[in-house]
Amino acid sequence: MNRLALAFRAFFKVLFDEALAQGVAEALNPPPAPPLPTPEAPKFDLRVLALLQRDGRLIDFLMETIDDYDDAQVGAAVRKVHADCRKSLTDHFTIEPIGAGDGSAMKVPVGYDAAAIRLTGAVSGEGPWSGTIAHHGWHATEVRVPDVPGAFAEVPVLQPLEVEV
Amino acid sequence: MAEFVLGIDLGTTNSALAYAPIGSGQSRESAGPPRILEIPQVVAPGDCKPLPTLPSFLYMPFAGEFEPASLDLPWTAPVEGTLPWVVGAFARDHGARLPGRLVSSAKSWLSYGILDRSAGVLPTTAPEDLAKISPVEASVAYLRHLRDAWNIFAAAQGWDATFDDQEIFLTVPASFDTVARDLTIQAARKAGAQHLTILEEPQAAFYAWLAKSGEDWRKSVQVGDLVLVCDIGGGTSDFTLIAVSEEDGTLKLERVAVGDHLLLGGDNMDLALAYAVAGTLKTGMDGLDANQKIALVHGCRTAKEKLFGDPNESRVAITLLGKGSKVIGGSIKTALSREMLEQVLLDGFFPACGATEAPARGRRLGLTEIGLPYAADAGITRHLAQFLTRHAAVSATGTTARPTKILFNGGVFEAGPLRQRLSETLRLWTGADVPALPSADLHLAVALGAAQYGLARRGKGVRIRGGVNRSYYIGLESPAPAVPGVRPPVKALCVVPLGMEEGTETDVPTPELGLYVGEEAEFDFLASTHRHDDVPGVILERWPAEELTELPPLRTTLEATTSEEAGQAVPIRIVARVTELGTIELACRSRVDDRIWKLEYNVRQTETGE
Repeated sequence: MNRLALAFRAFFKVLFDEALAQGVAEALNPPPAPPLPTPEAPKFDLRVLALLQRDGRLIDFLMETIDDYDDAQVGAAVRKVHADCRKSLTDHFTIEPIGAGDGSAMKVPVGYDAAAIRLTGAVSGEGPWSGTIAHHGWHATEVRVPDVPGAFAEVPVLQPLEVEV
Repeated sequence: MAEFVLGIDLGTTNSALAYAPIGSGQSRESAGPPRILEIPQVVAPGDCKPLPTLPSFLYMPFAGEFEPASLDLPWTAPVEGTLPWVVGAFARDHGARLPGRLVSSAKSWLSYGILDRSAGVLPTTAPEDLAKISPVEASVAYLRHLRDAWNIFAAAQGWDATFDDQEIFLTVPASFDTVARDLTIQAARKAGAQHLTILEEPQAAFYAWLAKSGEDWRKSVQVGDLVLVCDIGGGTSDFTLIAVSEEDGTLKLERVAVGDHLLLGGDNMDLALAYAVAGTLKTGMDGLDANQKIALVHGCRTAKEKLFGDPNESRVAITLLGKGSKVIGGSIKTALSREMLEQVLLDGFFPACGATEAPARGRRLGLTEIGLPYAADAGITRHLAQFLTRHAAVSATGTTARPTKILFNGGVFEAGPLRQRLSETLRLWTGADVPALPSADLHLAVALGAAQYGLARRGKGVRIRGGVNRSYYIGLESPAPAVPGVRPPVKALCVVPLGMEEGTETDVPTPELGLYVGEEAEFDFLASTHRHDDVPGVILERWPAEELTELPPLRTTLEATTSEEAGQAVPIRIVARVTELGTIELACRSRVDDRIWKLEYNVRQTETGE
């Protein structure tokens, strides 16, 4: 492109063509863009964490420094935490394996749901693929999660502070 | 029109509602045996879940304790600026940590004779700024919750069948006296029950068994059988004897004896286990914080169930997590051993004892809560021995009644060894095997049986007869030298005999009695569960202290007619009536004209609710 020739042509066009002059003025001095929507502060849904703490003290357990306790002491407590958290989980979700048991054979069709199935190993071609189930997967077929006050707060509350009066 | 019968077990620690369609009309598709209604209730703030029973606990939140909406029920209409009382599982669990705001055992207070039963007494340890409520108001709250749960359920099914229009069969302990029955009826009425029938809990359990057995029940019991219904709930124990006889070629069932109200139940057993296990810890119960104590009782209950369920287990570990935010630090590992379980439960609550042994008297500290007269002796077998001895008259011979069959009720009897211990004890006492009738459902039989009874009553189903479960007396002051501060000795005039039938009336043959016109007259009122031979008109000069229980006094005021002067005496006689609901009504009838003055219990009416 001969930019010098273009500049001269533009000079005379702007000088005699009012409409074009208007357009060029806007192009050189753009009006402020309409404001972009600012991203909202993320609203976390931490109800599940709050429930696991409420029913099974999972947050207490994970946040505790356990290096100094011996295995027997950890083991005894973990059995209790495990039982309580498991009950909480089964109370609020129906959790089922996605496929048959680990180790069983499976055929994966073309166009499978990539969120629910993951292929590993020597994957080639366009499918369908045959393989062995390495992990049967889990999905929550039902969700029964109640409201937990505070779990939606700007700073979500997972366990209220307790004061004995 | 009533479409359903609703059976309600208003329990000391748990309540339940069973429903059954009457069998015509819009609800035909739901025909079948009674079913349990799951009761939506708050289990945690923001979390409302249906559960098979409604724990009979009421918690009074303080202002600002919870976000208002977090305690909402599916039917709660929010009232500006107020927090509703919480009833059910969350009330029980949360209230354990703020006991001053928790109402529990309201039902036991209803039957507590010494107290003004309609006065605000609960929570017993309420802080000063909390308005206490009466056991009646607490019962109303539980019944209203059940009513609302039913109404929302029926509406969701598309049934035009509100609670108030249905036939309600409400159970009470067999041991409830007429005052406790009357207060229960008041509560049910306030909660909306209009078509109400009262049924004794052990009988309801028996109806549940009848329904489960179908026509086979006639093969399971024979003429001459005496069935002991042994009902051990969370907080109370109840004994009843039902005799099987024959009339016009068909089997006839009659409730022939009920025990006194015994405040001793499964919760006491779990608590006793927790104390026993805590005794093995270095710092005992005092070293545990509130959450750990609750966890210990809970852990003991679970361990008990495991040990009773599996005879090969010798001990079950119990872990108490740490205090505060620590889980592992400060956690305590302990265990319930079979030896301790048997020692505490079998030997403590079901000790082997002789057929004529009596429970120890006096107060026992470990089981005492402020106010309620908990059983002084935890030995349920000793209470049973006393019950059977007192009712020796129902068996032809011998110094004790001799049950030939036993029906267990109450979650306590999930434990096989406890059933065996009772059966074995009865075998030793009676000299013969006492087989157990198979229970319909140890936890829910009372509610299911109450609904079953409701169905039976409409058809030709078999019914247990019984009449009133106590004999009643009024006190007559005998002329005696006045000693300041000492009440003159009182004689007892029998006005209602044991077993007097519902819906009947009797004139009591009385000595010359006169009441002064224009003055309030007050009578002592007494009752006995086990004086089988007293008939109306009998006057007792003296009696063993434990045979007659004092009830709230009766009073009436005779208004003068124009021709009478105040202070004039009117000769009267006493008329006794047993209502269809099984309560007693006493009146004074003038011997000279038609006037009748009803005798009212001297229990103050509550200010709220009506």
